[in-house]
Amino acid sequence: MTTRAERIANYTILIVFSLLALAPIVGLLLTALRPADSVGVGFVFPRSLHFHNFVDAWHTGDFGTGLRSSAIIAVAVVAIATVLSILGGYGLGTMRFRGDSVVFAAFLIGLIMPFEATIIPLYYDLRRVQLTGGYWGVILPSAALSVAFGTFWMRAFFLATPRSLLEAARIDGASSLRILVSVLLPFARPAVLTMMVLTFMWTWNDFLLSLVMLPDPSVQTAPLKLALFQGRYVTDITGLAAGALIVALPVIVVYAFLQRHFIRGVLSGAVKG
Amino acid sequence: MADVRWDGAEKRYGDVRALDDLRLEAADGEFLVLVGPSGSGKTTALRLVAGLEALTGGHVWIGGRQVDRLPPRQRGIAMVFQDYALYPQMSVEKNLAFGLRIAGVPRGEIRERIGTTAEMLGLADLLGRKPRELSGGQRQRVALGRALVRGAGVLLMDEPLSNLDAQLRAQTRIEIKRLHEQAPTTTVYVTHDQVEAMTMGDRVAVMQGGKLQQVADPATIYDDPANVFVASFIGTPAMALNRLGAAWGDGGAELGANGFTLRVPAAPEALPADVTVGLRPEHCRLWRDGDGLLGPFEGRVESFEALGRESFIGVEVADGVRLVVAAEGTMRSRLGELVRFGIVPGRLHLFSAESGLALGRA
Repeated sequence: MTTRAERIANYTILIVFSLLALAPIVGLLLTALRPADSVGVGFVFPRSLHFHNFVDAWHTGDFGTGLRSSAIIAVAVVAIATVLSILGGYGLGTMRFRGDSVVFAAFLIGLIMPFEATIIPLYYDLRRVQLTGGYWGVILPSAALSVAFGTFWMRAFFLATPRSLLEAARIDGASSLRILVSVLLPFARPAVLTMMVLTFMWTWNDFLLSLVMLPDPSVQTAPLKLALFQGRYVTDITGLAAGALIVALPVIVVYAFLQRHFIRGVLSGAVKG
Repeated sequence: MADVRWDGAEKRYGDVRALDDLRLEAADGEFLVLVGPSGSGKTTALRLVAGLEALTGGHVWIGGRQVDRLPPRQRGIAMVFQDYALYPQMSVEKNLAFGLRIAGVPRGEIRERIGTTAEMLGLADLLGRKPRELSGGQRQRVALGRALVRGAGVLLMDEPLSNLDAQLRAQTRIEIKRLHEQAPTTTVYVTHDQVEAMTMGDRVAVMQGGKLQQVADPATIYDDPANVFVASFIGTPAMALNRLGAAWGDGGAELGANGFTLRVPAAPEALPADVTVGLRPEHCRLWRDGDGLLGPFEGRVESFEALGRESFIGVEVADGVRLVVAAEGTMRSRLGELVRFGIVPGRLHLFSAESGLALGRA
């Protein structure tokens, strides 16, 4: 039983943290809605709400192109990384083979190594094979990075599934692929969806890799377009705020749709062990 | 239908021998029970037949075919798991159909076979349900159904009743036995429960430490255990085992220690100086008027258990020599009290104190 005092304390903590999480977004929204030529940022409620700022930002930032590029890259990365992570995690989580621990360690390097450290050699490598300047220059490295995490994530999930389930399916005559598709995946949906949301979010929000790989404005992603609001001497704060909200919207929508699965997926390791 | 043969089967994990040179056969249609404490190698022996573990030595034969390197699906086996291992997201019907669909059985026949199996196991009303909507007993029956519906020649069961409560376990025990009698499929049944072993098996293989100790029909296992381990493992309460000195005297053998002496008219001829003597409680009865019993002997009550139908009294007859005496009905004794009892002749089990192997009865 929780006492009244405990409940009040719980709610107080939850409210404080919710406010801390929401404050920047509210600040951003208020900034985005103030008149374009006004000075100052923060929690001053504007006298009039300028929704037209979003239209202006859309044009200035060329977000039609930016969002399309981001969507192409994010969808491709999520698709590639999901398929490969499931297969990798399945192999490492359910099968024993010579050198499996070495393979797993190699995947972990991808998780541990700071990405910034690899970006310059990566650029030169990709330039040599003529992959810079196009979508693949971002898709392939992003997918590789996501596979490192995804394999680790799915391996943990498959390790936790009862072994007898796999064995029953083997005795029923199912092939390895059939076991994965018919028996394990339906059961793994929360874990897979969580991984997809995380991969989508990371890819969508990526700035550095796109900045290095995509000099051509016609293929630049939405986060890169935010740089257009920042001149050498002036920064269009209002436009930047409106643009930031436009960029953040798809992630929020994806999360909102999948949040039930997301929470279940995150908790599944913690609660069931 | 098919027979199963372990031909010197061995399984090692590093330096640990989980199963050591197992030579055993389950005949076509036989119900063979592998029984033993945990770590005895019984489940390993079963998994080697299923193809879920690879042999490190010897061979396994099913239906006259060496299956050492065949994957499970090519061995013609079906298996019931301890935790049932039902596919959680599939309905009961789909659980039953899964193996048949993979085997490419035509739809009509699948439906027919599921219908027959469901009828036989009382699952007809549950076909649309998911495993999480079933009770433990129902899940167990679905697991059994999934194994039976395939019509495999060999049925493997790995402690299938251990997650059920006592009443349901007794009921299911009878049910499985009945199903086997209706359609005698070669069955290898693993359990640590000696009641299951004794009541279900055509033959019982007692295992310990990765080695087969004895294989025989239940009555032989009980009446003529091959060694001290089998004697102590089978039977509740356990057989009382005491290490006694042995010598031939006038008119028979004398067994004794610390002032307790037992004279038996007949005993195995090759009698070593030290023997382990086993006596089951039902062969050690309270003394009334003799009834042809050896005795009387006297012992001090150390413990007693009244079970209603009968009572078991633990007595110490001499320093370190302990027996269990059976009495009909509820018998109340006081601790420390002296009781008189007699021993049924011919029911003393003699084992070599050195090797533990049976010498015979006295």
